[in-house]
Amino acid sequence: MNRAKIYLLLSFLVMALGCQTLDESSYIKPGDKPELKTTEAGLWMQMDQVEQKVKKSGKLVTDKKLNSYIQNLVCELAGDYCSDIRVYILNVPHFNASMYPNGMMQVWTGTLLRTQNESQLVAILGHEITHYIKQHSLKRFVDVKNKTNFLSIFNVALAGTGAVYGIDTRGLSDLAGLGVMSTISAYSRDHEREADAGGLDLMMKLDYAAEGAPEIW
Amino acid sequence: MSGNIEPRGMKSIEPKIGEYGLRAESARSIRKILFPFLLSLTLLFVSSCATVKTAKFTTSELIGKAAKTKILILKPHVAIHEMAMGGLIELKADWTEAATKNLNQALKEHFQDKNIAVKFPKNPPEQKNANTQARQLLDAVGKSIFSHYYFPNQHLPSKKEFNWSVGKIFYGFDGQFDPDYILYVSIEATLASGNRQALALVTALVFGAAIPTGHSQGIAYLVETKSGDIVWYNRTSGGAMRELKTAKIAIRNVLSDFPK
Repeated sequence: MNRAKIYLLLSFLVMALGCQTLDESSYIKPGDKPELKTTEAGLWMQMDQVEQKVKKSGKLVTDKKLNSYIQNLVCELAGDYCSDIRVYILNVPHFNASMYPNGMMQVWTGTLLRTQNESQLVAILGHEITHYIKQHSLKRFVDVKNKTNFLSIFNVALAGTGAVYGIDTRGLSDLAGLGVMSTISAYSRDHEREADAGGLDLMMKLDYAAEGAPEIW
Repeated sequence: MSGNIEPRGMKSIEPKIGEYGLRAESARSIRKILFPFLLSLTLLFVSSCATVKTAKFTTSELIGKAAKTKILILKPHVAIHEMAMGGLIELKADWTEAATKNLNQALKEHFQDKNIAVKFPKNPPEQKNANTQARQLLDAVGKSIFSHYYFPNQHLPSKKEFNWSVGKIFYGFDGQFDPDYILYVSIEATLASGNRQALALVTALVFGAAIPTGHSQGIAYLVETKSGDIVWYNRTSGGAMRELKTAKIAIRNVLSDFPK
């Protein structure tokens, strides 16, 4: 490979690098459904399929009282988003709850075992509702897409440059991969913090004791 | 805490130092690059077009209770993805929706001029709990067949013949229609985005190594209702089915060697 070729390669790579825009402050409006052409619609479709399986799962807790109790708490917290969020209580003895981009919320029975009072439970539910409202799944997906796109170009450019100058660039390439992974994780932690804060806001609006949130841990 | 997204394609490209004409005369290096490039292009072409006959079956003849054999077609599984430049796979809702429509239409037309009555249940009977169990069992057996034949390390050593069954679980599955057989079709495709294709071309030209640019697969199997035996199974190349024309080709492929 000669230098002319590498410059050609580099200029192509720079041209090809485009980012899907990601508005950090965006949020979903009550009752909103994504347009079919969007990335978000693909995520919803995928999660709708998962939800169909969850509905038929043997782990699904069907106790009516418990279901309406938690769904009512979610409705109170979520306000206008009440009808957008569907709660599924699953018989899994671990401490977890999760929110999916299409409005499916899972609460594991281990969470009900762990929480000592309603305020603690509400802190968790508020956290999950905030993930939904702030479209965190979508933002993370686009973030991973943009960063892995960048990484692919970076690696090709690096390999090309290494080839011209006869340098083994594999170590540097691995390092870049690790760097990108860590920024992806950091971004995800940012969302967890935002969800904590959002959850706290939602529970305070309903006059729940704020101590509930840290007490879970 | 939302769904897990594993970034892909982090390790797809590695420099091949000293392999393709480094510090050599450019003419030689171009020759060295050109051959693998053309080869990979040829392979790409062959892989997307050729249909290898792969059907496995225990019967080549349909036997129905009435003059016309009745087949209930379960809701097909369709998923069309896009592979981003960095390798991340994204389900495309609009492509999948169009492909589902085309596939259903192509399926309908495929059986039209044959001595077979087909039914596409509007409200899939698997909504009922017992039927859910039947569907899940069928999925599980379907997956076992797939891994037995197509994943060498998951090959079942004592399974010498094609004899798979889900038992009589589908007996009386749709009482009104009373099907003789139940057909399941699944077609998935992953297409490289424009950027990904360009990157693949560039890496092939410069390094002589192509990066993956997607794949596609179609699977279909037929269950005999009265015995529960899977009497026919096929796996082919599938298709993206963005038009009815390509959906028809995909259906023709995946239903090639279908019992008559």
